[in-house]
Amino acid sequence: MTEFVVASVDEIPPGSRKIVDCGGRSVGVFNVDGEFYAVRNRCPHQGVALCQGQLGGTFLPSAPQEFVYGLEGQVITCPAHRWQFNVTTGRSVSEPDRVAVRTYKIHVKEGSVVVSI
Amino acid sequence: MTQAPAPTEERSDQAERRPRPSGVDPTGAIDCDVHPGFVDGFWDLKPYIDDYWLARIGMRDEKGSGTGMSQGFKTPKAPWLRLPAYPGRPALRQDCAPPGGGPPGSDPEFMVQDLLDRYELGAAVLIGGDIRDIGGLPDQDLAGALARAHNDWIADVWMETDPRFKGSITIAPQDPAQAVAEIERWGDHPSMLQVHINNSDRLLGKRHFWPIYEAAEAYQLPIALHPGGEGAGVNSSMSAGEPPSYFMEFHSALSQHYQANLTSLVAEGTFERFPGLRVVLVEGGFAWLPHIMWRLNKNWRALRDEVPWLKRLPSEYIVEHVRVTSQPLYEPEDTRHLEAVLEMIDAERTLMFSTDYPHWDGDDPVTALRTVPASVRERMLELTPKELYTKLS
Repeated sequence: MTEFVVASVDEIPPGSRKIVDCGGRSVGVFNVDGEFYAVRNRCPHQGVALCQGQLGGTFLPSAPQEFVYGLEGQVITCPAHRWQFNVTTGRSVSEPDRVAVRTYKIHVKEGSVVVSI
Repeated sequence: MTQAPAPTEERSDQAERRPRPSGVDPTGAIDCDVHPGFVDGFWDLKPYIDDYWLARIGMRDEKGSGTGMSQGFKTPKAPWLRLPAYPGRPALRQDCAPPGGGPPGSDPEFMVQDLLDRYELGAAVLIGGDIRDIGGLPDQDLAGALARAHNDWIADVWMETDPRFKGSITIAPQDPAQAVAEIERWGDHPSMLQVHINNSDRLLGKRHFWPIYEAAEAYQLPIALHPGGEGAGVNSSMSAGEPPSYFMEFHSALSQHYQANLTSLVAEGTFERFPGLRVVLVEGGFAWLPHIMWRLNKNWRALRDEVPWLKRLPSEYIVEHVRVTSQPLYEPEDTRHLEAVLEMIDAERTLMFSTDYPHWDGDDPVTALRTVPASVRERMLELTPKELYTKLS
């Protein structure tokens, strides 16, 4: 495992993200309610820069004409074909068992955000 | 697999940040579906529209001047044409926004970097973006004026930026006389490759359109069809019956418009009357094509005497005269099913590569074609388009 110091904690406040380079890999670092998550900046569909997409919640599976908004701040929507992933797990929202984006271990040490690859 | 060219100082951050994964090599490919967009709506066309029309549509004075002649103009839009909770303009990729501002697809210089250079394409065939609803206008002369202005804009703004930008002659379907005049105006232009006939309720096989086909055939320009305009203004929905509720619904069913128009073209004997005519079905899908081919063939054998001008199997007319673009490529669970469909449509003759840049569902030239057999890929990327668009050779 190689560790990459990618940012200071202050650089990525809750609700924000930063796209960083970890030894040639493009990685999206997200702060969701104070917790950090690292996700590969490459959509498993056609390889587009996933982490540049919209970050927010989504409409969860529901009954017809019922709208249940949830996962606020956890869902990244790919800017190309709109595949949605939960950044806290890397799993696809529509097909969590079959489709996922690579996630990486991440921790905070002495005010720095560290990604382990 | 090839490496992306080394980034230069001039390349934008946006183009550099997007990683280029491995897959197919699109070098030299002809992208048969690329959309130029306006920066500021129809104001972009103001320099190319006559005073009378500018007065009619409230653009005679400068934008923002506050006069009655500066309120601006929009063509009517189909009611489902928006994606929910999507920032910026509907249907555009977020990661293609030009760094200098403006919506995705509106900056020719950025498109050179982000599409042409990035994938080392041989050419991009531009086909109208924001103009596509003119077939829904009740005023045939306004529709014609906007079509003419769009063609001037393509030549002036896009072709001047890079010779790899090729164009489609936009024509409005309401008045064939104006359309023919426009084909004759641009027919010999080295970079105008085809005629984009905007959608309306009229079926394309009807003789209303035959003067257009005569002109297109004379200039060896294919006719191109593209989604857009259905359900706009006076046009009916693209589906059988009332308009759909959801964009996702519309987008899944839009081949209906293509099916109706292709069947009409065949049945009316268009390809007998105009043996040199070619038709490109852009972004309409193609997995429905075997159904139409088989159904037409079976019915021809039984009902040929109703349409005695059809002297061969309808599927033979289709394979000879019709081309389809690849995007959005199907992604079946079993890739052998895709291969089977490609074989059914004789894809080595009929299929042409496209990205649909900068639309939301565009295909990445490197990664999207991995499931296509090599023998089809070899033809679709460059050879089939160059055979069709004779000006490219």
